[in-house]
Amino acid sequence: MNTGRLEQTALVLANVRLSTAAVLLELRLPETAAAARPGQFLMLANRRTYLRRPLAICAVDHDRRSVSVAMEAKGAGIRDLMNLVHGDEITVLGPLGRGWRYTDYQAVIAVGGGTGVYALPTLLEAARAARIATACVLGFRERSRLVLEDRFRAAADTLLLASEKGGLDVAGTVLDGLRALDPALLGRHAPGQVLVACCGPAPMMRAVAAWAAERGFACQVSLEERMACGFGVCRTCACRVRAGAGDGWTYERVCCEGPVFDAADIIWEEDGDGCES
Amino acid sequence: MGANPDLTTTVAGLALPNPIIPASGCAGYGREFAKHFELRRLGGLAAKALSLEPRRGNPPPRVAEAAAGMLNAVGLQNPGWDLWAHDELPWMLEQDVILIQNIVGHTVADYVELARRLEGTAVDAIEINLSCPNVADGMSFGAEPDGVEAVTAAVRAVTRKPLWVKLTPQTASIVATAAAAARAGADAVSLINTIPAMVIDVERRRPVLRNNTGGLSGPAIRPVALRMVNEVYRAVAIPIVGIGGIETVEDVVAFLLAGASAVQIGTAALVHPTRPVDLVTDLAVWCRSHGVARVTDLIGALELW
Ligand SMILES: Cc1cc2nc3c(=O)[nH]c(=O)nc-3n(C[C@H](O)[C@H](O)[C@H](O)COP(=O)(O)OP(=O)(O)OC[C@H]3O[C@@H](n4cnc5c(N)ncnc54)[C@H](O)[C@@H]3O)c2cc1C
Ligand SMILES: Cc1cc2nc3c(=O)[nH]c(=O)nc-3n(C[C@H](O)[C@H](O)[C@H](O)COP(=O)(O)O)c2cc1C
Ligand code: FES
Repeated sequence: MNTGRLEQTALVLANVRLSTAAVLLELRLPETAAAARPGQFLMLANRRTYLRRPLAICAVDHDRRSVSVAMEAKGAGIRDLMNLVHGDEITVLGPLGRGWRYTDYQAVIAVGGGTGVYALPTLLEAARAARIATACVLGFRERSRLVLEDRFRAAADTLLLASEKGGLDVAGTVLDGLRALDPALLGRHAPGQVLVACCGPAPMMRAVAAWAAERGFACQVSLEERMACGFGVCRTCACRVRAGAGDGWTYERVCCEGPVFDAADIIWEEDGDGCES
Repeated sequence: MGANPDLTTTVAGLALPNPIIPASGCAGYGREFAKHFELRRLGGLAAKALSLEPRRGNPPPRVAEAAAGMLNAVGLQNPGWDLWAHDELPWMLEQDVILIQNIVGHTVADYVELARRLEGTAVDAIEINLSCPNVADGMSFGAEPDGVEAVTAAVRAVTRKPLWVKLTPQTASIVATAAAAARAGADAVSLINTIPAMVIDVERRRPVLRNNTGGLSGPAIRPVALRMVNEVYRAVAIPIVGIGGIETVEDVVAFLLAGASAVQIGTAALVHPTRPVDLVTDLAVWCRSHGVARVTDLIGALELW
């Protein structure tokens, strides 16, 4: 099977500021737009670093044949991407990875924090299109970091915004947000029919996975790990996944077997291991 | 424009359709690349390291960015012989690509057992990895001529397949380790493997890699590799497979001129997945535009001052 070129040249169509910290880049990528599934990601080259940078696919526009990614300044690679302007060209690999498995559920609760929120809009929109009930709980460091509110509101039946600094719906973490969700809403479906889809800092995902498990909800998490290739050949993007009987586990590839994993299969790294975010 | 240039080359009697081979550890067992191009268009495939038992590899982070390259500390993760023989080998053989299987062991006996088993397969050549700096005892075999000679001779005794010995740059004299491989019956030497290195996160006062150190690869190591290939070419009689930071057709030609009979592409293929197969096309174009009829005419054609 030949699936064509993995490496595509993308024309930057727009650079849009989403918040005091975040930028969304719209890229002309016809083949990627046609193939992308919710939860997949791209590897983007930039002018400053040797390796590409992984970013979640945040939006797909079939009419404009474009894919958008969104980001907040971290190091040299992301800073350079944030400086791209309309008319610039970069090369990207993608769509990559295994995304959200949502079609078998009656309800999806999307939970995001930090830059993890960018992996969620396409999931909510696809779930909505498939007539799946949707709820969404997002955590932001502060009100000024709030992004994509209109899109989330349009795609989620219920949206709760949390910030530990207050100023949004819930003063606290996404866990406080989840606890504030209407119990009637959560009770409408058999627990096994509810998918909690979470992307954010590892401690948050771990806590959300525990919350979901207590209620018998299915839970998927989208992991981040440092990547060299993004398409499966280098094995640098390792995460511990249960395998075989008993306490057995192996290192799987976040870029191929993930980035979206069933939370129950993940063996979370102890503090200081894995990706810093 | 003349006729199509002849890109075929041989490495100690093993005929390759062209000199471009994805490097071990940067191509898996070929499956990911095969989704995007036919592996048979390559000169060969140097498959990911294989050990007798499965290896889990190192905890993450396993990669760190470096100027013009990267460090990796994958730790030779691989499924081990049984799963490899069952799941990977039959598929690789179907791809009709010259298959060079890279092997790694903790002891001389491990290498011998792997080579003995490979002797009974249709693998085209065996590449002994004596150099990966990631696993604590990987260093020992390749660092000294004695270690190289011991492993090479022991493996030579159990296989008639073409035997490529992959050398580490982490040695007092690459000529001495290459000569040791030749003495012990290697058919070719592959050089270089990665260079042991460290990247530090000053905010956390920690190395970026969980393994603390990792192997530097990419363009950063290319001049080191070229120097070593040429030194070995001038001093040791067996063929050389050149490796290290190759990105462009000019890099390929530089390694051939320095004395390599074929080259391997590692890190560049991680960033540009079709680069190995693109380089085959580029090499034909380069030869034609430079009036080179046979790619083998370039091997060792470097003129020193
Ligand atoms: C599947 C996936 C999806 C992602 N989606 C988004 C997104 O939608 N928006 C967003 O802002 N960020 C996202 N990230 C994180 C983003 O890739 C990193 O913040 C980015 O690579 C940092 O690069 P840098 O050069 O700016 O920072 P540096 O810290 O200078 O990067 C140094 C090295 O570490 C790697 N690295 C550092 N932090 C991370 C991290 N958290 N995850 C993976 N690699 C890291 C870099 O790729 C690079 O190799 C995602 C990561 C993954 C794995
Ligand atoms: C992620 C990664 C994994 C590697 N794994 C192996 C391996 O399994 N066996 C081996 O002999 N060399 C391995 N290498 C070394 C490469 O084959 C090659 O010798 C080295 O990277 C230099 O070439 P380059 O600069 O083109 O990458 C690995 C390199 C990288 C970057
Ligand atoms: S990043 Fe290379 S295998 Fe996942």
